Amino acid sequence: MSRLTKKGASVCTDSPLSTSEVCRKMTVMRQILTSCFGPNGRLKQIHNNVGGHVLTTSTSTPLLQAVSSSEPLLKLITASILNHLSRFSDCGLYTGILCFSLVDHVQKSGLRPSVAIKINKQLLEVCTGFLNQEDCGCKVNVDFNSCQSLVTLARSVISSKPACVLTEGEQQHISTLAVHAFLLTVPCGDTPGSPDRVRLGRTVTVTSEGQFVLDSAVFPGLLVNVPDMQLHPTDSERIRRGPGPYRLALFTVSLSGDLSEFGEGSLEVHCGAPDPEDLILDQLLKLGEQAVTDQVEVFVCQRVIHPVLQHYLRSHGVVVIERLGIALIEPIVQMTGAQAVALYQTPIPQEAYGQVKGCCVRTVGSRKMLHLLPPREPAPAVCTMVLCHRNDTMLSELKAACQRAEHVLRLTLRDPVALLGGGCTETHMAAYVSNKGTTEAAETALSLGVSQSQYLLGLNGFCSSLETVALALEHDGGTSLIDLTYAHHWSVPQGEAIHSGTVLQGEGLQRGDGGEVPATCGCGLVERSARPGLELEWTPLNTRSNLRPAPLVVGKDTTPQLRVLDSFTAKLNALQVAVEMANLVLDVRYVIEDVN
Amino acid sequence: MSILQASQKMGSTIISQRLHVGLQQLTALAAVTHSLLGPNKKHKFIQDESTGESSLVCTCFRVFEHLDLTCSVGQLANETIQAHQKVFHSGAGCLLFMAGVWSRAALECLHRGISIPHIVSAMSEGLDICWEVCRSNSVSIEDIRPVASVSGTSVLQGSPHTVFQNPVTGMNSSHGALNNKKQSRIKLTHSRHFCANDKADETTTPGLFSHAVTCKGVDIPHLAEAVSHGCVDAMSLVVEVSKMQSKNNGSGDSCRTFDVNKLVTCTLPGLSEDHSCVLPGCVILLSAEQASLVHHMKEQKWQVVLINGDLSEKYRHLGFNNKNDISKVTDKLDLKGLSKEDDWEDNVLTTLLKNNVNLVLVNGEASERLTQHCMRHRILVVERVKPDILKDFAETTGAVPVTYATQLSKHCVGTGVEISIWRDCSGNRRRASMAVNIVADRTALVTVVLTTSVHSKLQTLEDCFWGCAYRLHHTLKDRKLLPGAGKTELLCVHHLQKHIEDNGEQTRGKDGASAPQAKQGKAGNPHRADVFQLMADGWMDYISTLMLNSGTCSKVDAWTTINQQLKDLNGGLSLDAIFSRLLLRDDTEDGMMSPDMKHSAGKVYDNMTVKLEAWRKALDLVFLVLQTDTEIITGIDPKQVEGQSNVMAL
Repeated sequence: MSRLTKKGASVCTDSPLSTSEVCRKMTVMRQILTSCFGPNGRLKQIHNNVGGHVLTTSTSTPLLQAVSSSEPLLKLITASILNHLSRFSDCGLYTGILCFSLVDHVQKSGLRPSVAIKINKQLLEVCTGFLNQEDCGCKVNVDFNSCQSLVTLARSVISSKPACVLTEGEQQHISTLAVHAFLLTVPCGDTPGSPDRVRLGRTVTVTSEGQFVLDSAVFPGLLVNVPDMQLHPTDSERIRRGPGPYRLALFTVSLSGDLSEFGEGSLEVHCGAPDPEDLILDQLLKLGEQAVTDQVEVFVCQRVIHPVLQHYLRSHGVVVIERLGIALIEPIVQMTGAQAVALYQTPIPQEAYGQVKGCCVRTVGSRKMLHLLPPREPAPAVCTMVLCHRNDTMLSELKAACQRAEHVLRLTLRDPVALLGGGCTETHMAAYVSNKGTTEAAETALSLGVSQSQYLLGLNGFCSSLETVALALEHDGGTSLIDLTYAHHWSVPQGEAIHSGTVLQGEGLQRGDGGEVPATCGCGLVERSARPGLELEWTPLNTRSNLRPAPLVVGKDTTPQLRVLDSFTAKLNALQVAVEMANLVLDVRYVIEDVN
Repeated sequence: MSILQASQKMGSTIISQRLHVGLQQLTALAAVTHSLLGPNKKHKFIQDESTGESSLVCTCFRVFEHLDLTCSVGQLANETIQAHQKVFHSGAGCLLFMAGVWSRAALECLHRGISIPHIVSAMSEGLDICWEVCRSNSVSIEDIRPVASVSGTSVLQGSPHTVFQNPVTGMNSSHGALNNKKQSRIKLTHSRHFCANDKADETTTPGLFSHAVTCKGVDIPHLAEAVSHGCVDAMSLVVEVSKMQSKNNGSGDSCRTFDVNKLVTCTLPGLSEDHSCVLPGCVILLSAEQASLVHHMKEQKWQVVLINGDLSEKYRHLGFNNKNDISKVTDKLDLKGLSKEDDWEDNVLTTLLKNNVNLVLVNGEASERLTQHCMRHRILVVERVKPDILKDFAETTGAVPVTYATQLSKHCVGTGVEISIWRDCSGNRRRASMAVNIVADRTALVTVVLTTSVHSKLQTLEDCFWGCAYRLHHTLKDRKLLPGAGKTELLCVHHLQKHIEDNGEQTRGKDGASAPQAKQGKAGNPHRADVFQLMADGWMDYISTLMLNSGTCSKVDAWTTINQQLKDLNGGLSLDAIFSRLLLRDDTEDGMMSPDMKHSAGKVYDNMTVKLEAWRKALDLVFLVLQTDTEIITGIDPKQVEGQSNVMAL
């Protein structure tokens, strides 16, 4: 019996940002993201209410995927951050913090949304214009002649996640591995056929729980799982034999010999007629015969291979790999040049065969794995990164961080520049935008069709939002300072600046003796003990002064030890997404929900 | 830490501030291990109120296996412990104990207003210092020489059944009433995420370290004694294993090699504990009928085949999707009445006979009818053989494991297997009642038969044995040991205190003159000394608990003694001198130390890698919990949590 219920009317919320419930939820979400940010960020334990797996993380992707809200506006923001992450992997928390902060500042300033949106758009253009300038003060070139800046980039990504729980040595090791893996995936020379196009290889990650972090390693080629029982003594013998390349056949179709591919429906078999299972097995063995006569040395199948076929192949000295899984098909195709065969009823076409240089057995933790070596050196290079860590929680966080690092490194190939990390880009950019905006306030306001005071209000909110991101790096009651010469970000741990009181609060400007300020700024570019006569002055980050010195560009001839670098491409996009999302959220007038 | 709940459907999230509950939970969980530390382990009963089932445990990881851990910190701790156990098979208790004391230390730091980054950096620095201390104070295994004992022979050199009372087994009588037939694992509630290791994982070892560790110039029995940690009986069995493996290895009677991968255990309830012994090859229980076959074929070399999977007509390999709706159509009556199964059986039997097979080892189950048929043709079919055993037979007999018996051909048959009846275990109403010993030529595989008359102790005995086996394994692998019985921890405390003093001087120097800050480096952390002291207190707690559990003194006395020892260390006395003084003092007092413990306290050693990794993992756990500020629960109905002050909806 079916029953009909009358459809309820849709619920319409007028100006959702003005309702306290929405504001409260947005504040909660903002707190979550802010508290996760940076190397001293706080972790979140996420699990469901029936005692499921506990996820401990401060990384945006797993966090936002796990936490969902009922609030449409929050869903909108979450989805756009996740979309940004799927393209750039990095700067997810940054996007969220900036977006919420922009919305918050506009609400507090009392500007009409339409005015604020106009101003935000204009200021975003100023920012992107500034970042794209040749001589932008917070940009450094990535030098491919040395690994230094690449390693710094990778280390910045990896060290920003405290749930990885790495010692300094371990951080260095993993960062070097990430760069190593990245370099292995960059092909040498041109891709044959298309000289102006470069096809990058890929990195496959294999994780091993309970091992030492320093046992992590990168191998050219692929490591594939082979159950211990199947690692036949004859395999290891032939594996060490002579130089390759060996011929490889790759199947995506199941070779288990069952009838599942005939689909639903019943089958009638005449008595006396041969068993369909036997017929299929015969067909499979024919395939095996062909492989043996074609001198295939490695026989790979994504799914199950019938034991009789395996037995036959092994007895002819073929290395058999079954249940490879779909994830490894693409890399193996890329590495060996094989074509995946999806049919076993017809002979294997000659051009479907691929090549490997050889294979050997490697032990990864408690697992024995077969290492397939790439056929030739200037490869479409595929490599495997083996990550080891002491427990599963830290391992999954580390894996995510490494994959992010790889993506960030790849982005440098398109734009070989990086941004200063540690909050310095934000403070520096805020100073630039504030300075430029103030000096050009009159004409910009005119062209935007807003009053000058509105423009200055909007400008103030925008710059504060940028600085909020730098402020979010601090979680332990410390003080964030900005120097008045270069507008870089300095963070003073709790309990050190307070009692020494060298940074003056009065006018916001004070000559400090530097006793309490750390030796370098957040990114490591500016040193406290500058040239004599050019002592730095600091002011707390959240106190805004109208008069701001124009930030000086640090000479590029000196190459100071940069501690933290951020991805240029990812951050530029994050900035755009954050401002556009904030504008969109501000623009929402009604939320209409279907409650059925 | 605050709790925050997000629901997928209704969308609710709730937050509130509480004082770090996570660290408190971790401390509470770790308290479970306090009585499991040291050589005198106290067994624990874990009882399930709802089913009335109970089990007896005496290792930390088993306790966790039986607990219903609802809190997220508990799950995190469990995950860490299982990971450690999987790799090292020992040291989980030490891990959890240190996680407990250090989470208390971290909590105290928070109370004192020390910021989290300062706690994290100082604690990891403290551990780094102690790692260095341990490395420089480790003892090479070549340097560990037997200490002359009263009788002149070492405890473990005699027969496996030593005269000394084992502290573990000494207390069984009080638990004699326990009758837990099925050895069932008690789970109060089911959570698919507490993937408790299958029993098979415990009894068969993973192929982690695949080669036998052969050591020249070391005396395995003495090393074994040094790391026996009170499990004298179990360690004697381990030494027997090593002797047997050395013999198989061609090293003669010397005891030079030990391969933990060529070792399986077989548990036999019903026999008293002194029937535990070590046998070459594997031990399998057979029915009397099957065993009679063994009688007939004594002193013969058998031919063997190995079957991966079940030996039955219906069985198909993994990944084969059986199609059920195949119907046979026939136009004439089948008069012979032969079923498909009959055909298959005939086929298999013919194949086996053709290849002169006498023994079929099956990984899965074997069809009963075929087993009977085979027996009539003098072919012994053994089912449920562990994969490790199959693997060893494949390596030593030359047999190629196959999935289907119909696949068998001449080159799949292995040779050179001997079977003998080891013991009649009938009488306790078990179907399989004869224990037979199957040995392949040149095999390195050794089986340890563990027996006990108290059924519920089997698991404990097995855990104890594997603990010993792996301690010896790690000893030979590291080639280094740490001084045991709390000596290493004492050194760590001593060094940390030295650093605290140096730090104080440095700070004073900075105040007086102008010590450049850069020179201080990491010492720039103003709370370093406080954190170090709290960390050191954790180790003090460890040593004092160890002393308390050993029955030497009360906890207060222990702290006094340790402080005295630390003073002596500062006075420049060597560690050995201090400990011998401690022992002398115990002699005069009326201590509870048993004579053999007194005798051996000076030569107890711990595994270096295991201990250092356990410390590191304990600190990892503390850091993960310490740095967590929010617990997010997803999929909750907001109505459930309404009115709860400590939660917020999203």
